[in-house]
Amino acid sequence: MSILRYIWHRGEGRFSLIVLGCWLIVCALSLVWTPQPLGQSDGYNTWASPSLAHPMGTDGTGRDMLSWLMAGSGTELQIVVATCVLAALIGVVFVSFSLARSGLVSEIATVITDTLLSIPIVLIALILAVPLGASILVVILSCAISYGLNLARIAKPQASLAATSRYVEAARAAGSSRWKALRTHVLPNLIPVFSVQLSICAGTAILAEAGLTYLGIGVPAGTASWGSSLSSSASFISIFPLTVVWPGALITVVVVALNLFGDCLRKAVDPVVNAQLRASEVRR
Amino acid sequence: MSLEVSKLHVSVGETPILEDVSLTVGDAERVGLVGTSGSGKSMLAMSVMGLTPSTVRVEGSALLDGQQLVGASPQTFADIRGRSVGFVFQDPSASLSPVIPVGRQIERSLKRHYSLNSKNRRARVATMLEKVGLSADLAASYPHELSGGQQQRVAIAAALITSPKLIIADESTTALDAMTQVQITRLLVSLVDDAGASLLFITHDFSVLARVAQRSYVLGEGRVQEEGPTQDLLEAPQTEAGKRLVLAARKLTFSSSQSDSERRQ
Ligand SMILES: Nc1ncnc2c1ncn2[C@@H]1O[C@H](COP(=O)(O)OP(=O)(O)O)[C@@H](O)[C@H]1O
Ligand SMILES: [Mg+2]
Repeated sequence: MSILRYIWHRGEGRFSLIVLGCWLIVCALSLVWTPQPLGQSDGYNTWASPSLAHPMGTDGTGRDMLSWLMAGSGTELQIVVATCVLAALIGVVFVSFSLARSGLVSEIATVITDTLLSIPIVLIALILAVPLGASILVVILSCAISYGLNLARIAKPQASLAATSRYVEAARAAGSSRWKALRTHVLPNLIPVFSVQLSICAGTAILAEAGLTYLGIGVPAGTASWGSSLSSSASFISIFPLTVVWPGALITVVVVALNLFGDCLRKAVDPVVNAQLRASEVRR
Repeated sequence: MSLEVSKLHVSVGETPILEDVSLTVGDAERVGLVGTSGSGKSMLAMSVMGLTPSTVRVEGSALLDGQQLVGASPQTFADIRGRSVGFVFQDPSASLSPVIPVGRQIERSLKRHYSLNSKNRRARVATMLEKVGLSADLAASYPHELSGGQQQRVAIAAALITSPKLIIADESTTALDAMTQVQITRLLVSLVDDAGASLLFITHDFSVLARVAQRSYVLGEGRVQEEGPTQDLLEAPQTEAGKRLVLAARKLTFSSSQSDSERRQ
């Protein structure tokens, strides 16, 4: 709770909390209510300008922009949460491998990380799309693999610094097993790195969803998502700019909010940066 | 508890680090191990307790109350460390984790070796903190909120909370200023004596040693150069290694007392 309070008391943190809060509320709301039913498309009312009935206008098939963007927020949330959880898991697993006592295991982990990292995310997605087709899973898996490995690579120096530290040695001298000592001492050191990287990962997952959907291997046609709203109108940007501006602005604002949130989160959890918060939290 | 090291050979690959080292610490005895930096003092302590990296080969014998430690299983070591043997390391700001409150680091070996509920553990931590001259509220602090002397008191509390019968202090006062060094050494000695424990006090500084150990070993180039009552070693060192260490200690003492008197004038 005090972490959220800390974030709230910073300007950029408050902005990010408001945006992310609205996102969650809209997600919940879209489950029960949207201004227009999603299935409804009005063939006589395509590319409509904003009006009372369609506050953001309609797209090329006469679907209500606002309703589809609202429904899309749920899809984005699924993608972001699943990607971050998976990426964190992959990151922790590969960091643990790289700390393995056996030189061979850590060597293999490093080689796998570096090899896979050199494959662009779009290529990973294309390969995954072969068995999976256009699917939300393609977005989640390709992002999680790519960011998870990236996370492992970024966190590795920090982790091995902590792993070879005197305090791990001291913990071993106090009777802790090597594994236990690593778990209790290395993980807390990774939280600041992870919080920043995962928030960037969340933002990039949204961007990747838009990109991959545009390429036709992301969210399948007929499923609401910000990327699909964007890509279905993208070719008409010079004629009907508003239909591209709405999803584009939405994506930008949310991605910025996620990145700011990650920055503030790091400051809040980083024990070196924020001693006061930590002290007050412990003594509470 | 007694420690009997005999004919200990420690090497990394082809390079010998300790050769034919024999050393005993008797029951409730305080013994010094002194040597220049790099002479292998830490390596001795680490190899006896099985804390060396896998690249280090240890041969010979080390008996802890008759139990062979060289080549003992990881399980044996895990049971001994933190229960029968307590460690105090050199630099407290490095040997305490920066992200964990000191109270939790003090109770670690208690938690590892005894099944006490958390209330009892916290009470033991509070008692221990008071024993080392700190306020019990400090349990919630993080290491960076404490001074170097306070941190080393915390490290001593962590090493002694399970009342181990052998304490190994590796350069425990080296990172501290002269005043604090004296306080911490006194504290360590009085706690060890109260508990009836044995102490292996490792240092490169002869002047500290005189306060702590009745008997000392001088280590040089991986071998025991000489041994005997600390006072004798300090007054009349026989070997080159011993002479150099004593000279260094005298120089430090002399020059610091000289500058003191200069300041007074
Ligand atoms: N992990 C290691 N691998 C190889 N050599 C080591 C290792 N640790 C220490 N040494 C070597 O062992 C010697 C003794 O080191 P150490 O025991 O730390 O000395 P001291 O504690 O007396 O200052 C040094 O020459 C050092 O280079
Ligand atoms: Mg040393």
